[in-house]
Amino acid sequence: MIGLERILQRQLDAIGRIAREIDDPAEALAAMVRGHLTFTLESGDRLAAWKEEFRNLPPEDAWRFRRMQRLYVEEWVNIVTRVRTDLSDGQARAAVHAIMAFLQTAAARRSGLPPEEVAEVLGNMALAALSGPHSSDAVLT
Amino acid sequence: MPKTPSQPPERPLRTRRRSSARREELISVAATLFASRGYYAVTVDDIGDAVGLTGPALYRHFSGKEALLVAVFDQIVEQLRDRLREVVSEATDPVSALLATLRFHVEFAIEQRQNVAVWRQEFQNLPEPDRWRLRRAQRLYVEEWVDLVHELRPDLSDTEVRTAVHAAIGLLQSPSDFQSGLPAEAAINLLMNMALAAMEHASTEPFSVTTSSGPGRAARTSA
Repeated sequence: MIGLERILQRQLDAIGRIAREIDDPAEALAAMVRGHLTFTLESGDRLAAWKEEFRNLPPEDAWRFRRMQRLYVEEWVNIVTRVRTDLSDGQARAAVHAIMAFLQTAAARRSGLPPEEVAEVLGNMALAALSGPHSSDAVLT
Repeated sequence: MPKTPSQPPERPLRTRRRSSARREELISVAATLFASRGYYAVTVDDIGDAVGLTGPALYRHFSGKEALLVAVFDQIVEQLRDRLREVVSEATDPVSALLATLRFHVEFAIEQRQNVAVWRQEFQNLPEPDRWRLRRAQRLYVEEWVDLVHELRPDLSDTEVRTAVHAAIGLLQSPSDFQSGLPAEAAINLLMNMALAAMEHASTEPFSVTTSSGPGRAARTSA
């Protein structure tokens, strides 16, 4: 339990630093993507164990941890709404949760691609996914 | 939790056919109840009541709720592949095939959000033979995507395509984890656009951002 809290706090500190120190929202977003990917790739299988731990927490701890998670998500939502002024708050939050689920797949390592390449492939894709309206004419050519 | 196989015991031929129709009915009712109320909230009695079977009569077909869940998963993942093939066969070019695939999966994920969430939570706890069979069916479904993305992005290696596909599927399934409160069509459009942009930009180049201060300025800030 202590382990889980320390990890969440470290992630929260790191993302707070990015939000405070990087002025350019697009750069801050890229740094968040990179930070999240690094964390996910390094944690790998341990993430599943933490999730299990999280599910079995006493209510007062669960509440505190969920609050930390929400703060982490809100840092993302804040940056995404700055980068994507066309999105409502609700859309930005849905997009952030979608990107979390997207980046989470790095932990399963099911493709056989080396971790550093997984980071580049998913990082590029995540930034493109978050970066703006899309004209379907220009797609995939 | 019982780890007995989900197949019913051997029975005389005459009753087997009727029994199989009843089995199908139970699976279909369980699928609907699991999807609408969630697996954890549904009891074996709820499922029995819905088809007019008592508990003991139901246990002749399934050893318990977990066996029903496995049967529901089997059905979902089998149908998923067949339906995706249908959807793709109607598309006239690879790009519209990809769009149709993205839409198909996000609609599935929204409609089946409860079952997708249970899959994620319970999969590791299922009996091993069931896990293997479901994993195989899931792999075959993913291969349909892999084929399509290969065609659209011949510049990517097989492992890159696979990485991209798994991630895109994760993205499209995010509604099973988080209820955004957006109208369904708005959520579908948002997630499809994100997945599409992601697929278009999959690459192993070090990623960077284009900012107002100039294109391609690297943003490799260490976190």
